[in-house]
Parts: sequence; structure tokens; C-alpha cells
Amino acid sequence: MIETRRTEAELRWRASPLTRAVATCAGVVLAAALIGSRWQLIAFVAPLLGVLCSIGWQRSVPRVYVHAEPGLQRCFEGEQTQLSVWATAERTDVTVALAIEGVEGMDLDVLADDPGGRQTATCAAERWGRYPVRARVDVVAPGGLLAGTAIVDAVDVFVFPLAPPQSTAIPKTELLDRLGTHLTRHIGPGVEYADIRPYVPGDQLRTVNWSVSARRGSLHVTQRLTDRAADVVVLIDTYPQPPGPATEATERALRGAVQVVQSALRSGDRAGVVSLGGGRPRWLGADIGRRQFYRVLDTLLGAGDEFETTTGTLAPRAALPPGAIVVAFSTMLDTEFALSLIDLRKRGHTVVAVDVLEGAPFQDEQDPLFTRMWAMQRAFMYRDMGTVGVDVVSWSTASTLDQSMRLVPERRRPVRGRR
Amino acid sequence: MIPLLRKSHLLSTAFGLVMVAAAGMQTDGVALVVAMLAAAAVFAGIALRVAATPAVLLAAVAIVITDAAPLPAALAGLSAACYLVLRYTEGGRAAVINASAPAMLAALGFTFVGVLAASFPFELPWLPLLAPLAVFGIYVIATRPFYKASEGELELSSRS
Repeated sequence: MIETRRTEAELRWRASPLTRAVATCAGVVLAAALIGSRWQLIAFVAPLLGVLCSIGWQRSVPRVYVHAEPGLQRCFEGEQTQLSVWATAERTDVTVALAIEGVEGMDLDVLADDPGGRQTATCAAERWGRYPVRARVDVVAPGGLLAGTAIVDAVDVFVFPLAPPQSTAIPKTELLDRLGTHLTRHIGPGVEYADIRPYVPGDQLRTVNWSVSARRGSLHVTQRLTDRAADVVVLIDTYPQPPGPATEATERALRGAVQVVQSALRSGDRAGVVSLGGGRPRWLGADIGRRQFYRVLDTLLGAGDEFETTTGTLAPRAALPPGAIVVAFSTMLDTEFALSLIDLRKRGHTVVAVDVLEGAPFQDEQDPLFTRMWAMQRAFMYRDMGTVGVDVVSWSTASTLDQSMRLVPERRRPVRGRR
Repeated sequence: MIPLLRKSHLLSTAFGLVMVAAAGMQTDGVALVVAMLAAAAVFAGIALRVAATPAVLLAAVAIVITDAAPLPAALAGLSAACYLVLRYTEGGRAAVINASAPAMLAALGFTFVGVLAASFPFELPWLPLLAPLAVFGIYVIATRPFYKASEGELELSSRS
């Protein structure tokens, strides 16, 4: 079902063109009457003044609503969607005019302008984000003496990022005992050959390796490596960033997050998302399936109501299943975000941080020494975070995310979670 | 047929012509020319509603030139008020035109007051001194609600 959204227009009133015309006539004629001492003009001007004074007896102004169908539109970058907007008043004694316009970055073409005032438009945007469609309502009050104007956000168009199709590798870690697609060294049900061992009662007959059994004279079975599934939770940094390269880098952060979620869901893993920042973290529990992909997109952009919100600066425990792999996208400029990564590591998760910031976050050209000092500081930070157990990989625009994520160092033993 | 009737603004044009007729009754010379100009402006107002304002002003000029009696002037003024209101509200639905009834009634009521005030034989020596102030005060009182409305202080929705 397509839901419609109804917004009440908060009108700002001013004198209508009728009032201005009447007041102009009355003013000029009164002045003429005074200057020329023509008192019969008083009789001429009295009805005009009567029209102006009748504002006290006019009917009240009805509420005006702007309707939009659908009230919330979702699409991908570069995709065209259609929406329609119309305005109604509580009573029919007012004239309502409507005009819609898009915000910067969105192409809005009005297709049809019905006589009923219903406007249909197509819109498309090249960059992900939330684009409100503004409707400008012009109302003439009953009696025509007052004119009101309001600008209403009629529809929110959420444009989702398009992620490259390449799958990203997940860091090597101890996976949970659940069937999946990631090959492990554990022995169990699977396809890849692991070893041959003597038969013990209870083994399935179909695992018996008949040729080996014939050679050895006793029953032997084939052991196989098992495939297991992972839980991938994407953590995204939505803290305010300094203007310049850091703000531009956040665009790639969301793209990377979507790519990680997409490749996790494709390989049958559970994927969840936590967006930290602004004092109100949004999160979505890990789950599988195509629907989850759209739920993750909704959570990332704050659309709809499928996600949960909390307070604080740490990722909520409910959002991260035990043993989940955390992939964080951040400019690594905010201390609170880094602290939340360390907290996740302490809880026993494998944490990989992808640094989306490229070079120094300074807007204007700086001294080369300055940039080099910044690069050294970053290198120290990478090393410090690596010591704590949070691997930081840099993702530059020159390489794709799957290439960058192959650089995650392999850890030999997992850190035991502290309870 | 009905859209054509709406576009021709029959009712408002009729009131405009009544206004011109009341202003230019039994005139000759310059006043007749001005009345003709006012009629032309009324016809121009069919296409362009801004032309209604010069039409009303030209009718007032015709009254000034002929030095008409208060009663025809009041008739012209009443027609002018109806002309302006209808010209700006016509063309919409019937309910929109019905909503302008309070304005018309107020115009009718004020016409009686205006005729009384204009035909009362004032013979006071200090009247020319007081008149400008009184006229200015009346004008300010009449236009004040609109200033309040644009500042958002006028109660609009609680009125019945």
C-alpha cells in the first residue's frame, strides 16, 4: 500500500492584491477629497473603506493541508521516481495554489498539472542523501482580503547509494558454528577434503571412503572442512566532521558500508548496522536476506521506522551478536568514535576500521611540513590502534574497497571477550 | 460556455460600467472624456485585473471635475467597491464568491454613513483643521488589521 503524507501548512498572512487595490484607491481619493475640499468624495470612498473594515466580519481561515503520494520515496542514485503532491483546504471557500520545487542537487520535472491542483513530478539525484521536495502554497482567505503563503516539506526522497558489485573479504577470525559460505579449518559437514580417519561407530555410512577401506582392510571415512557463516556489523561514523576533505570523505563512508553489507548478505552472512554520532545512535540487528539490505539502507539514511535508536556514544550490545565482525567506516578524527571501537574490541569482536580520509583534512594548501607531520601522526594512531587490536586500513580513492580490505593483517589468536 | 462566461467577468464588468455611468452622468467636455477613459479601463480590466485600480481612480476624477452630488458619488463608490471585490474573487468556484458577501454588506452599510456625512451641512470654522487628522485616522484604523496580519498578530483561525 502506498501511504500518503499529510502536512499542515503554516501560513504567513499579508494583504492580498485586492486589499492593496482597494487601499490604494481609498487613499488616493481621500487625499484628493482633502486637498480639493470635495466632500462628496467621502461618499465615494466610504464603501471602499467598508470593504477594508469588513475583515473583522469575514469567515475564519480554514486549515490548509499539503498531501503527497507517496509520503516517503526511496530510490537509488540516478534513478527516476515519480511522486504527486496536491493541496486541500478544510472548506471550499478559499483558492489554493500549489507549486513544487526540489532542493539543490535534485532534478525535479513537473510532468502534469491537473486542474484539480494535483501535480505529478519525476525526481532524480546523482548523490545519495535525503532530499525534501518543497511545496509552496498560496492561499487567498475567504473574502479575498488576505493572502497567505507557506513553504512545506511535502515529500522526503531518500536516495540510496549504489555500491560496486565486488565482494569484500572479511577478516580471518573464529567463526560461529553455523553453516555458511566461508571455508574454515574446522572439520565437519562440507565439500572440501580434509583428512581420512578410521571409522568409529556413529559415522554416517555415506562418508566411508570405500577405496581406502579396501586397501587398508578396515573401514575409513573421509573428513571434510566445514563452511561457516559470519555476522558482519557495519559501524558508521556520523559525527560532525570539519569542513573540507573530511566532509567529502563521509560520502565514500556510506558507499563502503553499503558494499560491505551487500557482499555479506550475498554470501549468506548476517549483516547489521550501527550509525554512531550526534548523540543518537541508530542501529539495526543482524539478519539475513534481501529485505535486510533495504532495512540497512533505511537505517543508514534514517528513513522509515524499522531501526532502533539509543543514546550515548557506544555501540549498543543488542546490536552486536557475540563473535560478530565489526567493520567501521570513519575519518578517524573523532575520539569518541575511536573509543567506541576500542570498547568493541574489549567485548571480543574482531574490529576493522576503514579510514576513508585521504591525506590531511585541511581545506587550503598548507606547508608540506605540516602535511608530513599530519601523516606521521596518522601513522602513530594506526599503530596505537593496532596495538589495542583495532586494525586500521586506509581506503584511498585510487583503489576499490575490496582491494583495500585485503590489507587487513591476519591475527593469530582471537582476543577473549571480557565479561 | 461556462468557462468563457467566467473569463469574461460579466458581473464585475457590469458593476464597473455602473460605476462609470454614475460618475459620468449628464456630463460633457473633459469629464465625459475622463468617464470614457474609465470605461476603457474597465474593459481593459477584463484581461488585466490591475487595470481595475485606474478605472476606479478615473471615475473619482470624473466626480471631482463635475462636482457631482453626494448621492451619485455614493452610487459610484458602491459600484466601485463591488467591482473591485468581484474582479479579484470572480473566476473561482461559487463558494469563493459567496465568501465575499461580508465585504459587500459592509460596503453597503458604510455607503449610508458616507452619504450622511457628505450631505450634512457642516458650517464650522475649525473643520478644515480637524478633517485631515480625522481622515488620516480613519484610514489608519481601516488598514491596521492588515499590518497586524503580516506580523502574525491577527487572530485568524479563532474567528467564527
